[in-house]
Amino acid sequence: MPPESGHYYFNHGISALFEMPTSDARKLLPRHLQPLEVQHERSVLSVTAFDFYKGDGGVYEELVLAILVPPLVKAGERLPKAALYPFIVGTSTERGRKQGIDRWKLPHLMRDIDVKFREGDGSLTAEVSADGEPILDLTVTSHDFEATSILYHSFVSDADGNFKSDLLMRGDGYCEHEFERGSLTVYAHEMTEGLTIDEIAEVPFREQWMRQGIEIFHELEAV
Amino acid sequence: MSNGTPEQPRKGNMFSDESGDQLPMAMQYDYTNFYFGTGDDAFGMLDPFGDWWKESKPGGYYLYGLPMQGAPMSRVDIRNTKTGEIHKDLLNFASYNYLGLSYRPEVKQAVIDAVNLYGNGASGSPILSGSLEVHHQLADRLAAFKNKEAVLLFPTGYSVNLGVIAGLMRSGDLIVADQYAHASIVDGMILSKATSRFFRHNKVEDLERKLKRYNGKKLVIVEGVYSMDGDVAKLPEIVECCKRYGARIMIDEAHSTFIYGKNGLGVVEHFDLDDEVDIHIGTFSKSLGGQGGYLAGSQVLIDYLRGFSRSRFFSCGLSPVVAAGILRALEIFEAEPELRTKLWQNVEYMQASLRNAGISVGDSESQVIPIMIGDDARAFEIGEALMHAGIYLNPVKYPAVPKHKSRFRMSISAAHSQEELDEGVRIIANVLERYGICPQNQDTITSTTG
Repeated sequence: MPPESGHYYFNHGISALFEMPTSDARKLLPRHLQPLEVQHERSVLSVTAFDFYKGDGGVYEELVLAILVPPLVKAGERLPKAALYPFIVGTSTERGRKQGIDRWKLPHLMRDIDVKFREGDGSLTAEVSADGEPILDLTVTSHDFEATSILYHSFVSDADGNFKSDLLMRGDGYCEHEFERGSLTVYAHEMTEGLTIDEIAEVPFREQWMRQGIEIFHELEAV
Repeated sequence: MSNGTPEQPRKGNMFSDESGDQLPMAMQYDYTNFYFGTGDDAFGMLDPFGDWWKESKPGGYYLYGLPMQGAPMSRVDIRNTKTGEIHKDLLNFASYNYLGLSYRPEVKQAVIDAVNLYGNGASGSPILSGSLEVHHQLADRLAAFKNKEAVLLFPTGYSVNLGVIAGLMRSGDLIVADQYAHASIVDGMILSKATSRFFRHNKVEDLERKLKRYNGKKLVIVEGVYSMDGDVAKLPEIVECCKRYGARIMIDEAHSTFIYGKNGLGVVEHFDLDDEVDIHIGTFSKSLGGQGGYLAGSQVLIDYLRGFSRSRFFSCGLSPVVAAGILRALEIFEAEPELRTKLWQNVEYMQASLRNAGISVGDSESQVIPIMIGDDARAFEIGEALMHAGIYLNPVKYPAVPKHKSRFRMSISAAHSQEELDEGVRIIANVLERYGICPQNQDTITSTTG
């Protein structure tokens, strides 16, 4: 049976949140969005890596760099856990990239990236590069895994306007913690342009790891 | 997980998932979910917040701000705002009052005498008519105790950090604070408009990273004892780093003055670094059992900030009644060094007893002891159980502390008897056992909702 439209199935989805300068975040965001600050002048860089095995984009790996922004909280609608503005996405295949651009208007690096997942003792590392040039290394560590369903808001903007999609993450095993055991190394690269690398925290204040999950995009709506 | 099952964006209400199942609101959401709203009405967030609060408050948030029926002694009566019941004779490990001075008969008499002399309030800004003789007596006595040229009094501990930081630092300057710095420090940084950075808690190498890439005026801010974890600033390394990069140092000793050091001067005295620190902040609400804050330093620093500390300038002066009580408490503190001896005996006894019982107290080395429970989802439930078992302790859960680091913040006082400490350990161990948080094996702590 073919997968549902807007569904992306993955073995591992790892994500971590890092403090970054608000001045950088403001430059990366469209004018209608404000960065969410965890501390005065410190916004949040979200780094996420997936290995998709089935779905609209087929089999591919993906790296998403995003800024955390306030969700659209409305009376009567389910409260999202958080909201993101992905400012650059990298994919390992053209098919994955094309559907991400055509359907979800996500800004992409226009060439393939290479994501190597390396599982350690209670950790998973994603080493991301393109044409042999390193982009970043992300390590996330585990805690207690449990089944979960999480709603996010994902914002995008292009020449046609500003949009939001409800993004539902469901997984058989999900863990989230703030034990500050993971790490991030960011390299100077086209994907990391706009980030003051020295000012990005090397240790995440939150780590998330989902196993055997689905990422479900709901249709874009204008905001 | 329903791999292969069609997923549609069904929507229940805001507190249910896509299948309509109700989520545990007190656990699933918190105040941070209601920081931003949509629309143009400044009250637009109140309706969704009100819906959440109505169900969440009885679920555990009611545990905050429960009315105490008398003085914050080692045993207290507390009114349960959910049931209306008065919980009698609870062991009090929630109040600061580290030396038991707030209700000493001599302090109460000083307060009564001050009421008869001054009335209730200061009735003016301290730079205008709101400076009364008792304020000068307290400032002079405190300056002598702190071995500093002068002291500036503030109406609250919050206002002293706000006023000093924003009064001294300017746009274009750099302030670097420990990431666990108190909200009043952070708010002072915001108000100053200086460039603000935070270094990882007590990680001097991260502080150095922040300092070395900046030229210009620099201020580093740390606390003596950190209020959520009870650990102590690594002051020797921090001072050395600050000197190397030409940064001034400010220390907030709200939880360490009158407790640490040979004479109770604080962590600066403990490390023999009193003269190496430029700005000394403290409060009267912790060890002296009063209210207010102070800055101690050179005369010229005090004279300068008297004019630039807007949080003091534009507030009514500290109540003379409170000032008289603090002055008397300070006199007792200086006359009775055995109070500190007793406090430290209690701290060491309680730290050892809790650890021996297998209860995690983190890195605490002070009278502030976090009882780590880890389980964010059941922090309130355990808080209720502790109250019903005979202990008054406040839960601290995410987002006030990181996820999976929920805790009860325990304050030890010189006023606690050894029997009360023993009883406290026994009750806490029993309650944690009952909730499956086996004191002998902290690895078994699990979270039910994340």
